[in-house]
Amino acid sequence: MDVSVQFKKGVLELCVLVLIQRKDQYGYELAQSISKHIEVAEGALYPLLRRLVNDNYCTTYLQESTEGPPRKYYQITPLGNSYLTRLILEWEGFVKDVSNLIEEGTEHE
Amino acid sequence: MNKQQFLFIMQNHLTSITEVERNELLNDYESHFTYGMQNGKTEEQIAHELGDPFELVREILGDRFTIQDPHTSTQTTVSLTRNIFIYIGHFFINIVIVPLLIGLWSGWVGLCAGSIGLLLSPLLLVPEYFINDTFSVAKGFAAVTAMGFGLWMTIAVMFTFKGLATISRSYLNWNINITKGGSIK
Repeated sequence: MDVSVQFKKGVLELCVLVLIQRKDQYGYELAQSISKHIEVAEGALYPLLRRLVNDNYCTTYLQESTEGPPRKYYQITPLGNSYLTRLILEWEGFVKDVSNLIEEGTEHE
Repeated sequence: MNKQQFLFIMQNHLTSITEVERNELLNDYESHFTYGMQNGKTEEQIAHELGDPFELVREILGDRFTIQDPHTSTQTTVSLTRNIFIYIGHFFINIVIVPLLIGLWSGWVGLCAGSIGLLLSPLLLVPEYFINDTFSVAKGFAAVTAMGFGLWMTIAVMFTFKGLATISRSYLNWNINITKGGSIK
């Protein structure tokens, strides 16, 4: 359990960027989109989003909604886009390396 | 846990970030509750989905510390209650150990005095010679023997001094360490 929590934390940034690259989303929507795929403490999203904004990987804009408070939408920046491309490449390489390592281990046994 | 409790914990523990940042995060969480409830969830459900607020605070502040100053993060987590209990426990430990150390050192002083007395015992023959005008060979031998014992005891004194000094020094260091808020080793 604890191990997978650490895994998820590590890739949360990648998942968030992928999701907002597809379309601008607001915090709650984003939380739902992620929870659909992986179980994660949704509260961790907001500090992460703040950091992404601070690092200029995404920007925010407010949009009035017919129901409830105005929604803060997150939009990816060009910088965020290139960062995401790099992240995905790294992620794929990493997953491949780890898989290779595990397979290599079972071959020797 | 309901919305109030969740936000209360966040608000009270996010003190070391700027007010703007804190308000922004609190707003984010509050909106999250609002949207969730619009979607038919209860406050408890939403709070559960958000995760443990203490864990979140730790994460948020953890980010902060590494950004501002990586060296302060180990020092700042000592809480007041922890300190109070440490001082109380510490007080009782000192009540026992300090008198014990004083006792041991007193014993050492006694040992010192004994060995000095034995070493100097031949000198006592000098006043006896002048006052009583006699010199007893038996006493002379006894004094030399006593001096031999005295030399032995000097060795004992040196060893015990080293031992006691080490004990006292490490105890003192431990004390300083505790008072400065370090970990109990």
